[in-house]
Amino acid sequence: MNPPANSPRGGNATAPIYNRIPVLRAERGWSRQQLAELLGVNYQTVGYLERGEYNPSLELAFRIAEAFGLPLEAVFSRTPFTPLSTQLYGRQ
Amino acid sequence: MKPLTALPSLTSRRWTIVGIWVSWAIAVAFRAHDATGIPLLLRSIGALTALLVLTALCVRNYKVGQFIADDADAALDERQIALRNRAYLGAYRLYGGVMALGATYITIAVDSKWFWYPSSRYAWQSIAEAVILLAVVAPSAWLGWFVPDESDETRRVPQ
Repeated sequence: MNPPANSPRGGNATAPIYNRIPVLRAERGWSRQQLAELLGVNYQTVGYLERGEYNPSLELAFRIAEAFGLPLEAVFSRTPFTPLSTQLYGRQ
Repeated sequence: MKPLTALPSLTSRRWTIVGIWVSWAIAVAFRAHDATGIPLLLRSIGALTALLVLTALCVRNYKVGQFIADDADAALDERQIALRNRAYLGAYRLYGGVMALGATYITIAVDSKWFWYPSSRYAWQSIAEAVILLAVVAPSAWLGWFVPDESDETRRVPQ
């Protein structure tokens, strides 16, 4: 999913970092603009984060986790997240 | 943070950059090429016309030139700053490549006299101005050329 490190899209990824930002944002009914204002970034950057095309700095990752009121590992992972439906009901 | 929703499409940006640089090359060539036998006045008119086209293109698509490259850090977030840094690196490489090619050409042309080379003050002045302009516009051109369309980003997520 992540572009090469020098992608002009803004990707800085050397290894994929997965995140639950789209799900968490949708759960709260926030627009990208609202989340961006909470984080102090451009709303387009939220789109890049959600698509996995930009890996945030550690500082921004903490801000994102704090915005959702969750621990960092609940928002970001180095392995793909299991869908919540699978976790809740044990099937795909 | 700086909103970037009004960027022209990638196709439009690339055509603009090509148009600007072709106009610029024509302007420099008209001004610098003193071996044609064309009077300086006519060459100046040609250069002025090409520069007017260049200016019109710049004004029409001014956001290509403004985009991120010369914004203050405070106006950008970390992704945009990283993007700008890569644009400066890309521009540095472009500039270095053009300078190396130019120096090679001038050296061969002057030594062998096989090709045209600048021989008058006007010609050298035109080349020098072009080199300075290239350094200034290269980061914006890199961004305008490589940053993809943001159409999906301009759409707000429904509440």
